[in-house]
Amino acid sequence: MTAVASRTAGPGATRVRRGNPWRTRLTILAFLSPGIIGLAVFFVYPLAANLYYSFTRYDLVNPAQWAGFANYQFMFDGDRQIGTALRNTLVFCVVSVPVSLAFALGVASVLARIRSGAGIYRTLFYLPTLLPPVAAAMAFSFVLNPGTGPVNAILKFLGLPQPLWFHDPNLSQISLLMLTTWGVGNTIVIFLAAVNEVPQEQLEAAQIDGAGPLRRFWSITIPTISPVLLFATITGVIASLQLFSQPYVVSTVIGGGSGSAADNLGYPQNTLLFFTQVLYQQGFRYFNMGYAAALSMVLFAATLVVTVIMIAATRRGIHSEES
Amino acid sequence: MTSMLERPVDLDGMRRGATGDSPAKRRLSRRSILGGIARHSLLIALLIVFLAPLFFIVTTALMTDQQALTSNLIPDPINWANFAEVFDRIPLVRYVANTVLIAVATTVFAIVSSVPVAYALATFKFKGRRALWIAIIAAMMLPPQVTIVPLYVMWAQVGAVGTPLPLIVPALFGDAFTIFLLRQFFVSVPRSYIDAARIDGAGEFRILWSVFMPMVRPAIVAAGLFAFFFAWNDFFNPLLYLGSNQEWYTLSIGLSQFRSVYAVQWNLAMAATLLFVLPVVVLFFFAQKQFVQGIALTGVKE
Repeated sequence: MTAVASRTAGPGATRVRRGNPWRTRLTILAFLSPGIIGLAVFFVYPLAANLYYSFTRYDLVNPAQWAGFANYQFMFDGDRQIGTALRNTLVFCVVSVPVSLAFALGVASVLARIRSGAGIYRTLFYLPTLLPPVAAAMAFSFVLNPGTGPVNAILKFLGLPQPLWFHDPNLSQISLLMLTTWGVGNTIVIFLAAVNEVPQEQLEAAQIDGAGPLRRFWSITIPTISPVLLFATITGVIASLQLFSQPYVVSTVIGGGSGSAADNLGYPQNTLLFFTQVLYQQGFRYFNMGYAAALSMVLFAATLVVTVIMIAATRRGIHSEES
Repeated sequence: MTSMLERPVDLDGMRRGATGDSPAKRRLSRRSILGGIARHSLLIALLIVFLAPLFFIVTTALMTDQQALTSNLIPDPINWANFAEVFDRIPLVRYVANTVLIAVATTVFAIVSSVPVAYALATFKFKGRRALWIAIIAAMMLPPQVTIVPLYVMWAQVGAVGTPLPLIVPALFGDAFTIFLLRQFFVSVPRSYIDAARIDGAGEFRILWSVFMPMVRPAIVAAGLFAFFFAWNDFFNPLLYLGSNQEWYTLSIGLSQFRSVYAVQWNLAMAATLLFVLPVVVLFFFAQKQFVQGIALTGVKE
């Protein structure tokens, strides 16, 4: 994050040639205008407006009514769903981010050390990532389907127990974890690029000094790629906080044949109910726009806190490395 | 196809493979051969698990209704008719047309509007550049749900909910991720070409168009691919804005509703999934190099 944010200038960024400074300024402004207008209309304004809406009662038909902290109060006192959703989201975040990062880093560091065929492996590991989230969720709903799915068919053939996967409240989050970890190809590619940048001389020197592979990995590879690692952690945490499509599709597809898709959100037994789904349901099914806005303020705050903590951690990490 | 992905020179392997003269070194190289075998075995084992779901999607998509309900894993007979049946059961042609239209429009708009912004960020020094860059990164990182209520209200007030406009129009005003990615590519372009053109008296638009653009074509292709895939894969925004109007449903929405309409016909569901995935896979194989570079750039420090 800091690595990206702190270097604003390109290596050879030049001051625009003198001449008419106003003309130059206007040219730059013209170049930037789509981005500036876009940020203002689709980012800055909605952020501000969202804060306002979060203090109102608004159903999209009648004008918004000031409600003070009522939405926030309801979140903490009245809404029984949100506690479950919050807990699910945090637990999933805390488990899934380390699991997927560790898996991706493991694959990447093995890939970086083989002599031939790394490209083929990388392509094959990337393949599942190409599936749109909805398609991946459909595929896993089928593959892990207890009755007719191939995974349980194989387990049965091997004489092993056949779990209910998504249908079992105790296993549904683990099944979801398998689904999200399946799409880890982007992270593998990012880590592979980073691991390949680790200076070979340092690794060889350490090897000659008698450092084993684990020691070399821990003391040389990890510190060298730490900025990439932290960036991947931040984006991973944010991605898991906003997880929506996969649990939505799994719950509604396997949850049973009701007419309104939103009815099955969280199936089974609300174990797949995530924060963004409550937000979606409240805002765009029940049209409690004010309450949905309050929920998105919480999401905003959580994202902000995660990012700030991570950036602070990176700064300190890189600082101690330099001194 | 894969050779493009290979690193140009495998210095790593060359160094390790060099025949040493000391016994210690020879022992090291024997160990590295064993290590290589171990690594390949590990990767192949992981890949089998990793690719199994894809295999099952394909085989099930080729099964008959009856066979899909058995635990048989290999289709017998192969039932190609599933693909045709998907077209009969859901308005797949319309979903494809909608998805292609939305994805292509989004991609073209995002590129056209983001290139000048990224160029300015990478090339000019100006007041507020750092602030703008941070704002773009923030816009890219924040979950879309954070701004969704006011945006939905905005689109509802202009009567655009139920049309694809809320999905397409924002791309006209620069896409944060596209700007980010393009700028990361652009800063590595040698500045001397631009400086030379400036000394020759070319205007900035002219420089961007005739000097810079030809040099950064691969970057544009990469950013375009990403924009296309984002739009093609998107579920949340179409669900929100098109939810009320089946006329404009995209493949994501159509597929997610498959089960509620046709109980347990997994063979059809998997055939539909394959049809949804196919264009993305084909595009990927034609443009792997750009793709991989783009992904690597999003996470690699400068």
